[in-house]
Amino acid sequence: MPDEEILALYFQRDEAAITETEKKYGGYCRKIAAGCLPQAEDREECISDTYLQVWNAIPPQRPDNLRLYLGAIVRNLAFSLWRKLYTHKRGGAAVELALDELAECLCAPGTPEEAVEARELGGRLDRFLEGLPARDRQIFVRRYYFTETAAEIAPRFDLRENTVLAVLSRTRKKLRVYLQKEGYTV
Amino acid sequence: MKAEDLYEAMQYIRSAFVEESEMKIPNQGKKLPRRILLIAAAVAALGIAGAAAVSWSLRSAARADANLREPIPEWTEYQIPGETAPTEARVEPQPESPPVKHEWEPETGWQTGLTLDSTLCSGENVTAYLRVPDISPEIAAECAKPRGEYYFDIGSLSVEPSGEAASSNVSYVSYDEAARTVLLRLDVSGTKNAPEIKFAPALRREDEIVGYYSEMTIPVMPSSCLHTDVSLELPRDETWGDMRIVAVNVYASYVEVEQDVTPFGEAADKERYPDVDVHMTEDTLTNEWRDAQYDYFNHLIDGTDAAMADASLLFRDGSRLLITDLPSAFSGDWFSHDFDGLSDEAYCSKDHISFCYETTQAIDLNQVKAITIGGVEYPLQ
Repeated sequence: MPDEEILALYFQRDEAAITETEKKYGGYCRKIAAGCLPQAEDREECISDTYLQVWNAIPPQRPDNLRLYLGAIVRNLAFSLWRKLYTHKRGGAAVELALDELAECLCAPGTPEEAVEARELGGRLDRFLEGLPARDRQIFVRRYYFTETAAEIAPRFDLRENTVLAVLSRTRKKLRVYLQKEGYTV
Repeated sequence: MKAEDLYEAMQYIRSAFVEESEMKIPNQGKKLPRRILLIAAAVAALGIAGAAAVSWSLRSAARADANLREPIPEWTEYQIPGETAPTEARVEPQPESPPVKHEWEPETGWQTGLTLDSTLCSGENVTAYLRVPDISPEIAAECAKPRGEYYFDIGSLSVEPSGEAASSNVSYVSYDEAARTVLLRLDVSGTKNAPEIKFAPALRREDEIVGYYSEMTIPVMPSSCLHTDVSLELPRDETWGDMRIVAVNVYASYVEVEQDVTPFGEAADKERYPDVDVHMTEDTLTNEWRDAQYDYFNHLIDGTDAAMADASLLFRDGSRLLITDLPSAFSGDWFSHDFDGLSDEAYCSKDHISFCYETTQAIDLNQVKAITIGGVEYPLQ
């Protein structure tokens, strides 16, 4: 079903909207959730919360791109749930490896005084991403937004896995330099 | 700041960046040099000549996708049952007995087999164009989108006799609505000169497989190579040892640069990476080892890029073409077959490597005379 028709169902407060969303984007949402949540029951909880949040938000919101809208919500909820469940232990989630890699961009562990406002940092990341070659930017987003592995990213870009790893390594080093210049204590 | 802050902040990046990353970028938006535009015009003319033939548009689409202007020995077209192409548009050589084998038994209800349209066999790279029948216009339209609801994936692939390739990819090329047939492109690299490839794609809807296809055999045809010896010392990086270009090989779909290098195991910078143990196994690798590995790999790529930045092919008609101007999925990227699938121990001990610059334009080797690197002309034979 086209997105416009699914959105129309939300606006009519027809619960078929959830069914159609699940039919069309259920697999997509589960894949994003799986980056943070290795357990199936946690993923399902996250997906249910996602649909509830979407149901409550539309209307009045009318997203331009339903797929991206869902992806952002499910990623946010999945990461929040991961923090709740696994912050102090390893749970085998793909995000843990991604976080280890991102830690390379930082020197010192954070302190409460250094708490960073995520939205503001997101704006800085925007400017950093703007300056990257398109391919490097897309690879970075696939890795640290969608939490895909290098093996998953490589075929999407017709690259070999080693090349993806090398690109990510170089981009993280650039990010570290960029954050230092922006005044972040890294 | 913590890594979690960075990961969380990714939530707030511009949605255009997220959307952009969902698109598959090979073959998109590349600026084509004049030579390629001429090729495209010629292919378009061929397409017009064949417009009346059933599914001839797919043959034209395959040629256009390969950036093929005229016949080259590495390009092979196969007879499609029931299809007649206009004589003036046919590209030779055509095998007298098409060396294609089909296995037509569908694995499930509605699927049928594939038909091999054409191949470009070049050294260790094979590009095959395959026709997939019985695809509705709606499904084809989704397959054509960068991240459509339906898409073909690699399914099963084996390179006989080893069973493996360095990399492979399948992508949508075109659709003939009258014949309800999709044209797919299969790219396989690192075939180790295997005699044949066996392939069966899968059709997916989101993450679910909705169509299997019976396996077909793609013959790997012989191909040519132009070679020259080179002796070019690259600027030395104290950290990672020596690099010297010793040979260049030009194939129809890629340029290979052979180099002698200081092996990783000898070059590993003990000052910067004191704990790097080159004999670590995959299970015990540390982040430091991986950092060192990436640094070494980047050093090789950067060194090669710098040396080949002004390299150009010299054609018999006197024209020149910068290698970096050749259309490739990502202009300026060099890839190595050498490091894929290597054990760490093998990786550490390699002293001879080759980088390949893969192009999306078929190079007519009969027209290539020499290559120039750093202002020095090396005749190719």
